[in-house]
Amino acid sequence: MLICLPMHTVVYSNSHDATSWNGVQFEDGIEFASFIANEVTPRLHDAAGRADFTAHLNGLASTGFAQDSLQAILEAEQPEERDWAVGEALAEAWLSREHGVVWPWNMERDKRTPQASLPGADLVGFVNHGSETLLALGEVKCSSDSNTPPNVMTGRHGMARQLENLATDIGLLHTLIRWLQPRCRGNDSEPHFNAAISLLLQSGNKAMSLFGVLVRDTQPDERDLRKRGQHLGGIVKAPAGCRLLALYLPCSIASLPARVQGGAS
Amino acid sequence: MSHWMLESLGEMRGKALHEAARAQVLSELASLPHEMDYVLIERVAQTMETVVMDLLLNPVIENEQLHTLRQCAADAYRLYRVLPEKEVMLDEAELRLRRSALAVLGDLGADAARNLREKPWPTLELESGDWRTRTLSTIIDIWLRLIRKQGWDDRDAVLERIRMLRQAQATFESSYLNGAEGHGAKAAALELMALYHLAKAAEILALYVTDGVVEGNFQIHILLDMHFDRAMAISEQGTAFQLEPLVRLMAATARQLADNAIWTVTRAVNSRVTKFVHSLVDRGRGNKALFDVLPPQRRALAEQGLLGSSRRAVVVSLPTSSGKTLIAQFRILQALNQFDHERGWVAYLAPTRTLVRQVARRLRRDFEPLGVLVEQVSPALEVDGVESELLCEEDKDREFRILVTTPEKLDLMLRQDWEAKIGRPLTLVVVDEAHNIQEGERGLKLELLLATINAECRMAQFLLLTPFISNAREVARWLGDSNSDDISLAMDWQPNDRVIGVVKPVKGALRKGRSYDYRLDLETVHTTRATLAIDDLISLDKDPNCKKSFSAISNQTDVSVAAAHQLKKRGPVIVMHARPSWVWSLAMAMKSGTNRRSVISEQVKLVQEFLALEMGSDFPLIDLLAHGIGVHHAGLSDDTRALMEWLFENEELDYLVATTTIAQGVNFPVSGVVMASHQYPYGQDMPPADFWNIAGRAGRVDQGSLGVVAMAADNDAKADKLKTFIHKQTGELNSALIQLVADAGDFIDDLGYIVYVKPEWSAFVQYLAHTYQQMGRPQSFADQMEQILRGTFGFGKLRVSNANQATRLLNSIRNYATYLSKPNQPLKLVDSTGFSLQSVMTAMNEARLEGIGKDAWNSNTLFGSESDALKKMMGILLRVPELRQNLEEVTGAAGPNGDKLALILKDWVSGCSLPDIAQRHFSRDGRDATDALTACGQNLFGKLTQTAAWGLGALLSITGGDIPEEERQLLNNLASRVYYGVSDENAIALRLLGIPRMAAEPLASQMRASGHRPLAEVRNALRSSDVAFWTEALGSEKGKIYRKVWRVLEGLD
Repeated sequence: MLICLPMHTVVYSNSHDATSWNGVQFEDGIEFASFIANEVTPRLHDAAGRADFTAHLNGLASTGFAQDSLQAILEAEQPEERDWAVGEALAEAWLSREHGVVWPWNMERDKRTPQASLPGADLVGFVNHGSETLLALGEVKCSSDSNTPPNVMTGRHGMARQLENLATDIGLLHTLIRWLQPRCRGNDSEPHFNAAISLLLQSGNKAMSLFGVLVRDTQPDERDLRKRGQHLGGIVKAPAGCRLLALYLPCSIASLPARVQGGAS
Repeated sequence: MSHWMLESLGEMRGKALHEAARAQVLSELASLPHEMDYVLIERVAQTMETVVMDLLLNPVIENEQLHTLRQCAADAYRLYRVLPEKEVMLDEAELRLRRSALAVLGDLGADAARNLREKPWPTLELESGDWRTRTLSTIIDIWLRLIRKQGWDDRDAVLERIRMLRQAQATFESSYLNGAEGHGAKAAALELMALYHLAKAAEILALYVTDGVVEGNFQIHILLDMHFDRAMAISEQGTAFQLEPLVRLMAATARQLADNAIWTVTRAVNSRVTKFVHSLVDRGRGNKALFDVLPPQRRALAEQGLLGSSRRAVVVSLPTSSGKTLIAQFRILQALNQFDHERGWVAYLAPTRTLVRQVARRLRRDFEPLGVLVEQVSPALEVDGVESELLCEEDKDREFRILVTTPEKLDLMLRQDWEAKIGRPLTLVVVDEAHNIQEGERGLKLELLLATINAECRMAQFLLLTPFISNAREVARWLGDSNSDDISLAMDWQPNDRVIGVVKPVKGALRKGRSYDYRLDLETVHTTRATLAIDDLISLDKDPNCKKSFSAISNQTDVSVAAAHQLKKRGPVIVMHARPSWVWSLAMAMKSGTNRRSVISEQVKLVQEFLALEMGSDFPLIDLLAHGIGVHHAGLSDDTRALMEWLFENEELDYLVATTTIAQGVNFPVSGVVMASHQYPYGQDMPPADFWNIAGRAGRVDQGSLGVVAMAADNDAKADKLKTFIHKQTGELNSALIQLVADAGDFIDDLGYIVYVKPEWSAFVQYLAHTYQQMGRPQSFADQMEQILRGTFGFGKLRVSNANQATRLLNSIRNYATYLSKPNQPLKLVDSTGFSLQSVMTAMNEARLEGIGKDAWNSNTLFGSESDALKKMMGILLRVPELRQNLEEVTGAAGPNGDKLALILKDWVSGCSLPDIAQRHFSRDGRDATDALTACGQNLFGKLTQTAAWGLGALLSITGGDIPEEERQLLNNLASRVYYGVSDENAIALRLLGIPRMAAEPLASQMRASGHRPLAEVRNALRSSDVAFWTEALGSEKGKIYRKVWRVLEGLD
């Protein structure tokens, strides 16, 4: 009989104004394996999301544009294999489990445009905070970099800057809302959407919850988050809130695709 | 307007809109930069867009939601518009596209198009080696062009860019896709596919707006929906945060653009309409080609079904500048078609000579290619030989189908049985500026005319065009009972933004010496018409050429000059003052050494040369034109005024200084209006409808975003008075009868005597006489009349508002009926003269006393120096109440003087030049040459020619009953000779065709060799005539000038 050990421990926890940062160390074991198999994997192999592109390709004929190259790309079989994609799914699953975040839509990460001029957000959902529902926006980074903080946290495309943009760029925020809008229409998400957006507008675009998730396969170290946390603490003001999480894996990030494949089999 | 997101936004929306208005007004007008809360503006703009996107998700959008959607979209556009540009060009272009799309959805497409035309076009990487950048840039570029629609060029560019994109696909696409990392390639492929559908949709729309059909399919919506649905389905497959909402927005926008397309609005009405639309979108019109209609036109023609309707009476009540004429044009074509078998005709009524001419020119230009002949008849109240011939033309290719004239002329024509003489039915009466129905004597005439037509012209339908009034339905019902409709758009659509404000000088710092500096402050005023108003006082720059010190800027003229100089930087300005003499001095004050032009354009030169010929080479307007200043008032001839308008419309003038009366005649846009006065020449306030008419012209649908109306105040008291004036409401349209009765006092008890003291009652008592005749002089006339009166627009309201006077009026009508029924009353003469029965009898008596009988009518001697017949006739006419006032004013302080009137007329008819007539008859009281010319013009054009022509025609009817018909025909032209100022019978036709007076006689003699020809043929001959034809008749220089001027006046060049 296998013994169920706790899957994780909080290794550090700190905050500055409306921004908090926590380190979570995962333990390998059956619970972690079950988490990967039951909560992470389904987010990657979404059967409903797998589309048949034939109709789209046929429809293109009437536009006068050629379809050969497009067809070749769309019909190529490409299983989910990138570790960052698994990392993102893991972050999503963790936020649902531990923070009660609701995801109205599978983010279809395999079809996200790599060079869209608007990067958007990695995660878009809702979170309950007391009696209120807030819009939840998140960024996920995976890094095996031995430096602390890892380079994915800094720079123009770093997590801190991306979160800052989500908090301050009104255009970006509303583009995300407009993208989310039809996905929350006539289904269970509609009340969440209406409540969260009402609150957001009433607060002058402030009341939202930001999540920054750093997936690591290194030794826990608060320096991974501290500086960025302090920086964001100076920018993100209540009623907005920002949580930075570092998830320290018991395995290498590179092995995640294999774990997912194994779990699925 | 309601939506849960708006509730969440609370007061922020109002604050942001106010801030955006501030940003717009200050950026366009203020001399110094101001702080703006752009964060607030953007936050609310984004939210408004999100609300729009939310409403677009509804499968069906109901009325209330549609209203909210339009309003939010318009708000979003207004907010986005003032934000600073984005740094990255592609981002900026994408935002511009969204903003413009929102404008289209908010019924501000014309604003967006203008905005796109004014700003530098975004330079996008249409040739980029990166396929995604290239494709996205192209898509944004072509959709922006579809909204801008700058003539055929934009449409052609759209098609060309799509063609190039297709061509480049093979070269660039596969390397782009292969370069995308792993799974990103699929996303990239999906994104491209969605963009290709947007390209195809753009191609469909571009073809549709010009051709009305795409690949044999007229169902544009089905084609567009197909591509947008596919683009949407594809983008939903991916996670295209930005593209997916854009596709949804463009889908709705494309649908709206298609709805606005002139082809959609006019589809399947009739072949004439289709042909007309073809001519409107024609490539030959260049940038003036018309591809879509304005929202009020769309609502009137399509949504409210004006074109499909069989309503007998429709009142179209829309804000000024919303394109009422085009609506009327479509309705006219429909009416012509409906009564094609009967070869019915349409009467288009405009209140002033200027408007008659403008409308006739436009209708002729638009309809002649369709084979619809448009004629105008002069406002002179006689139908002369020339007009008689054109009215009775029976040749199908030459018969008129549309007649443009004044209400007064049509009234007399119908009462003289011209519908029967024409031999074809009057099928539609279009009344332009129908709000005039409430303006005094002329209003009453118009109302009674409509009542007469309604009763007597079996097939007549009505289309009344008016600036917004609140009771359009009531007016429509009056004419058409249940078979009526009103199409009213009130405050929810404005053709452009405008600011109305009071400008006044404010004392500044002490200057050298003892004088103070000053600045000009413009205080915007809140109005009922959705004009922009902000809390800041707008400080205008001070022009170095204007008065230097506060004490020197001492009156309305100075303030107006200073304000006009500032507004001129934004485009041509109209500056108005109350009287011609003040207009002259204002115009002179606008002149400065710096605005004298070093190079005079060909167009300005032409007008200067024309003025030198007509008014003498030292006429001050010639020098003013060299400074870019035009003048427009009643002291100038119609031709001169038309030329001023032409120069102004062609932006050849910086300023048009005009009397306030121009408010009634302007139908062209201006960027700014400065009012030195808000009153008409005799000191009465301009009616609110007229004020809003001119205010409505400020700002252009085609260029210049913000219209400014600045009212000058030289002190605070004046400023307060102006604000009160601006707040006066235009409300319900009322019958002039109500005011007339209120003003009548006890005279109302005697309708026989009343015209002697209140000549404005003439139209009413004539109506009684006419109706009595028409009914066959029935015993029960008083009862029947009561019934008719109760059915009129005015009487019903009178009974409610003033029951006592209404009863007295009815009693009085009974008494008058008894009077009418006396034997041998010359009732027929009432209709043929346009005089009341009393006036007819007065004229009869006076004629007998003066010995004016049928023998006095000799066309060879009447205007000769030996005959005193004309003097006697003028003496008689001076006693006719309907004419007295106008004629007396001509001789002014000298008192009524038939002799003097006759002398002026003889000079006028014999071809004397205006400076000569002015010098001889109007140079008294120390007037200088210009004042004399102005007084001469005011009196001749404004009073004498029309009144005397009418009076002579009437007198001929009264005294010449026994003259044989053939001779009578010839004598009928006497009145026209007076009206046009020519002595040659043949010159009358040329004058009717718009030939200036000094050229008419020489040209007539030149043409005499060709024999008598129908008017339409003469017009064609003139149009195709070469320079030689004119120079032979008029001499080399003069010939060239008059030819060019006539072609301008005809709208040919």
